[in-house]
Amino acid sequence: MSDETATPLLELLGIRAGYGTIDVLHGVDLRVMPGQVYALLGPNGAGKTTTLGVASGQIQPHAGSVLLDGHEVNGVSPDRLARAGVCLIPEGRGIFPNLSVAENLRMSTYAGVSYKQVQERAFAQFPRLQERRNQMAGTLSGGEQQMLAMSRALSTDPAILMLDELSMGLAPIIVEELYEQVASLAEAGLSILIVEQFAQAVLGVANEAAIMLHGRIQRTGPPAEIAEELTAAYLGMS
Amino acid sequence: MSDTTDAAGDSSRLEEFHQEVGKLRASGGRANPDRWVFRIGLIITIVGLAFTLVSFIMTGGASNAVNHLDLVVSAIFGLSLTFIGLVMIAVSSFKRFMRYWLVRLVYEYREQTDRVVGS
Repeated sequence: MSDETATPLLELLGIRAGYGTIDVLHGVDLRVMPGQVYALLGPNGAGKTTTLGVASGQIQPHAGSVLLDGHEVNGVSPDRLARAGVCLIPEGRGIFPNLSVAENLRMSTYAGVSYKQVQERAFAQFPRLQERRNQMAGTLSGGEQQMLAMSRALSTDPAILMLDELSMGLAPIIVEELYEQVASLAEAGLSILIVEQFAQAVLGVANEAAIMLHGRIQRTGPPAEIAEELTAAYLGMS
Repeated sequence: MSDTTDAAGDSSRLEEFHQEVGKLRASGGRANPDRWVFRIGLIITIVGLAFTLVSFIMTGGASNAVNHLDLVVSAIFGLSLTFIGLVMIAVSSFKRFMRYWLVRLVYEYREQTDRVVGS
């Protein structure tokens, strides 16, 4: 799926970043190859969401480089990165709770895609959304809200998709269903960077995984190897 | 969709992405840009005030109207710098405040929706 000799689609080199004067990331190196699913795992407060913030241009690093397809993009605004094809689904889903499903989908036509196309793609991917099209998004179940967030993101035809805590607050069966969708997107060639606290589901679809602790990537490797070391890392035994 | 079509679609999307990224110009970026605008604004304000004050003091010793006029121009320049600096300080402070306000609204809105759904 991913060719190690190819240029990484997303690369973070020696990233130091944080909030105000406090550094959260202390030299993060990460590379996502074309067509790869990269799982970034770690406990709460490890710096995973901040890493996504840096990769999507929302947080400017104090040091280090963000490269997209080999081009340095430090300082490029998040909206320009989004238009180029970098798409982030934030923790908490980022939908409009007081708008209906259909209205939420209409909001993603900003990228120049027609409403009809957006709806077709969304309903083909997640048929349940069609049944709920007139329902207020805030009243959907957590899984359906996540589906809506994903369909909005996919309607922009991203080149790289970043998912922050996809499984948060969802029932295991829904998580499984969502990760099936992630797997099918990966099979279609989309590069995906997933940040998760609970690793089991994501390791099943990832090609590469990393453990992050205290703002540093402690270990990178195939998901099977990472799965073995995960408990020890979370308990501070590694 | 067939694998061949998928592969063709992927490579064309990647090619498009390559072109889009090529158009992006890295500015280097700075962490906390508002804070930098605030600091630069503060420096400009101080320089402008100093310029104005020095010009004002020197007018007392001006021997003729031409020198006096030069110092008036310097004072106006100083006042302009002060004004620009103050605008920069106001804009950066306002942006920080509005960002905080927006985040607060988003969280309150979300909590309200959760309460409505929960009841």
